[in-house]
Amino acid sequence: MGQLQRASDTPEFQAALVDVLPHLRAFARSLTRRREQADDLVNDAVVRALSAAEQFQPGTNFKAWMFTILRNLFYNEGRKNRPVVPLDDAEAIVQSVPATQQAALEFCDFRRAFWQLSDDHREVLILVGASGLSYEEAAAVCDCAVGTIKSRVSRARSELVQLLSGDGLKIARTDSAAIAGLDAGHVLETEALTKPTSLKDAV
Amino acid sequence: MRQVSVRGILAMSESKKLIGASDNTAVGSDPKLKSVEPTNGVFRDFGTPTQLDHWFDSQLMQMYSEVVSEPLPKEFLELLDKLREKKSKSQ
Repeated sequence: MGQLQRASDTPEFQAALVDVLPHLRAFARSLTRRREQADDLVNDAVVRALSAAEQFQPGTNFKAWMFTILRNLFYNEGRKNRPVVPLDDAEAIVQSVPATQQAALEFCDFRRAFWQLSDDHREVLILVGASGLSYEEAAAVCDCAVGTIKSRVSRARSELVQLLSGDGLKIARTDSAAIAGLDAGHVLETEALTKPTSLKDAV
Repeated sequence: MRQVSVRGILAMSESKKLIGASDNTAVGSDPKLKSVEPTNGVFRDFGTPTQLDHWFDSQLMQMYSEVVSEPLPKEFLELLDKLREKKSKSQ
């Protein structure tokens, strides 16, 4: 008699996990603002998902399920309150693009404004505006009403407009430039995870 | 240090409500969002609120895609190798 295959061992589950990894990193980066912490968070989310694979309901959105795990880890395990230096790798981009490239400069300004948004606003913009989740799926990830998500998206956009049209962004640029200078090693780092063993052990 | 001024985005300070809006519109689309006056720097007229919404969407997508397309750290690659290994064995 053959042994029952664990859900996490199924090809479908593993393929889905492979596909969603880059998206998890992007979502985690928006939450933590730090590359290193984001990858730690993804690491832990993958470990959690592998151990809780049976809880995933086939036919539902795997990405949303993984985002939920990652978000819960972030908010429920004290990670949100860890001191962070705002990520501002836009600074590196500002210094690397020619001044004549208006689109690139606009993008830099957009990034600066984005990182000034509240956690809630950054989160919904990434979930709905970038990662492709529906309002309903984003509401499930954030454990709130669909109307709340829509309202947050709208307020986030209004806040972006205000930031990009006012003095707030310029002030932030000065501050973030100083921070980026202190934290330049981080901005440019491409180091791997600090806790790789737990991930290895999970497979 | 080179100064980069805010370009193209124009003021809109009214509180916005999206609840009940059609999901066919751009994310967070608000018909009241429009350009009203240029800030310092190069003037750029987004024309319509929809164009501004599309600009927001494209910036968001670009930012997101940058991270998505980053090379995965070594540890993740090792994980993926193991998963693929398991997958090939199970098939």
